[in-house]
Amino acid sequence: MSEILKLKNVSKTYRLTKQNNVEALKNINININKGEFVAIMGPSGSGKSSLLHVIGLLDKPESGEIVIDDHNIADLNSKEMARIRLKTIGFVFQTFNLLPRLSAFKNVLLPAIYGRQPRGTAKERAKQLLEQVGLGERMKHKPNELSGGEKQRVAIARALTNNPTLILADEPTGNLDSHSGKEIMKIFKQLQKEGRTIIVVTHDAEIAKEAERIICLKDGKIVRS
Amino acid sequence: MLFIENIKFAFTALFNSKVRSLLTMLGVIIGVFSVSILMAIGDGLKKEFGQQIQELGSNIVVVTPGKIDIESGNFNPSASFGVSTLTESDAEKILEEVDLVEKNAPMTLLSATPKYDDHEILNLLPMSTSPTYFEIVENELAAGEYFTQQEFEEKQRVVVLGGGAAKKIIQNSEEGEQTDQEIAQELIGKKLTLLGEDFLITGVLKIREEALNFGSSDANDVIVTPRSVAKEITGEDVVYRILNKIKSAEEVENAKNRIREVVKANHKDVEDFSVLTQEDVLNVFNSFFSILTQAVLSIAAISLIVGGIGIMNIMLVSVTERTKEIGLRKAIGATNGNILVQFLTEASTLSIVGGIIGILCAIGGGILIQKFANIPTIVSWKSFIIAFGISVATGIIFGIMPASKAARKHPIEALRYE
Repeated sequence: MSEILKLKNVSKTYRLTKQNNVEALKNINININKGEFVAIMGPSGSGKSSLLHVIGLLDKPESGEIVIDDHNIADLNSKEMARIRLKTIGFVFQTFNLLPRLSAFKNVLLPAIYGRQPRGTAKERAKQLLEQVGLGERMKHKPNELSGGEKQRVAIARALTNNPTLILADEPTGNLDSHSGKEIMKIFKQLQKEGRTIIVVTHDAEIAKEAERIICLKDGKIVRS
Repeated sequence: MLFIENIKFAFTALFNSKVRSLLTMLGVIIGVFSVSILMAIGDGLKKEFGQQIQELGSNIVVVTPGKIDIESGNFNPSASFGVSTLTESDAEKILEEVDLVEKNAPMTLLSATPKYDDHEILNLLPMSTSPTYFEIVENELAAGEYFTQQEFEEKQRVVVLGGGAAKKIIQNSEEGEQTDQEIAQELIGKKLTLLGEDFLITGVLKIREEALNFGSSDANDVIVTPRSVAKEITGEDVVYRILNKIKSAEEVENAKNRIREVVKANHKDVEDFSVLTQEDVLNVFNSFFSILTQAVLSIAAISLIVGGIGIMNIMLVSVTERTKEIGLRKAIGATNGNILVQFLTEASTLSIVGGIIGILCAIGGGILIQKFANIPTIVSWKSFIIAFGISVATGIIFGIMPASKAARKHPIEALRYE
């Protein structure tokens, strides 16, 4: 099976002050195949969010090599990295990060605008995605008129707008009750069946159990893979 | 699609904080309003002065006291300050020696307040001249007669009133609605007190629509008396203007040069006067207006800078408030350029909407000024385009700093911002 993601000796250090540096990631090596469902676990401060940001091209590592979908990140400029975030990666956040002034529908449409899709197809797809996550009736609602679970489903629909192969979720159930959390995980499972690769960061063992593979981090190092 | 969506985002942001947006736009609104309205007034006055000067006739050459530097357009104020070295003999010499001059008339303003029916009438222009004045100015009569050469020589106390002056005199003494014609008829044969003596009103001129404006009085407000009479009463011999009618319009430049030579010789070779054709007068006005325009534009520039700083300030606040949004947009694939353009569009939208409101206010204001203050205004496409261009430029120039601040934000730090 072909690899979608490869990390080789990746390290990341945050400079808090001149003397005080935090080594968030130390020599991380990970290979993830297309269509895998991977959970990244670890206590807070273990570096799991940093790892997701590096994988999601929101942050650059100090050293090491990252290859996503056959692109070596070292060769890319910021515009090309934005292009990969747009086309290949879909993000789901703990706090949903929906734009409060836009309706659910417009939130889902947003990535299509940057992807320069034709208007008609983009609208059709946004509608279809919202129906797929069970929000066909609530497209016109603003985020503050939706429940937590509904907001996260809008966020998932938004992550799928440009049909990415890799879904990155940072504590997607962290702000939800257990019932809504299970619904969200069901949707991720469904997305995996469609052939997408799912990487979920969580500290909840219940959630991690849903994944095929668990990577455990502690103090910036992989302790179990 | 991205461009249209950016404009939609900008309007969403604008309408989400209406009061804040309006206050921010106020600087640009005031700036654009003042540019447009002042340009409208300037163009209106310029056109009116132009028409008035043209109406006097292109074959009229005026000698005025003081040296005016026409070439550089500098308007020497001493020329209009009442010190005059011109005399009647200059007028006589011109008529004698310059055969291109058909006729001429010396003019002198009188510092006197006319009285009618024991009421003082203010804001009129009493002046003395010779009968040829009427032939040069060609202002038709509404009633009565011009004063004649014979009356002039006999020093008869007669006056001819401008149409506006007649109206002011009647309004001051009586109530009631009367046509200009009725007023003129009524005044013929009545007495007017001027320089302490009684004058008989023998003629009233028709009101000219396009009359030269002197603040609260215009050329319709003249009270014309024979020069011989005024000289006898006041003992003054100075002349403030010499109007010369040239035989043909083509010879105006030649006549101008000849008149200058003759007057200069008569002034012991000192050129302490100016000879102006209508074109020169237009040039002097135009140069005066161009100075006015520059002053107006610099004031407007200042108010637009203030408006621009207001926009920059509110955009910086907006960028900080929406840090999380910027982070999210970057995470889902927006490039730095996308973010830059988005915030530039927003800043430009603020200034363009402000500019449009300013232009609309100027159109309304122009109509009101024309109606109530009776100052001519022309709101032209030129001023629209200038005002619109200025507001776009303001938005972009003052939007660059906040927009590039937004574009440079690190996605992770932006997403974590609370």
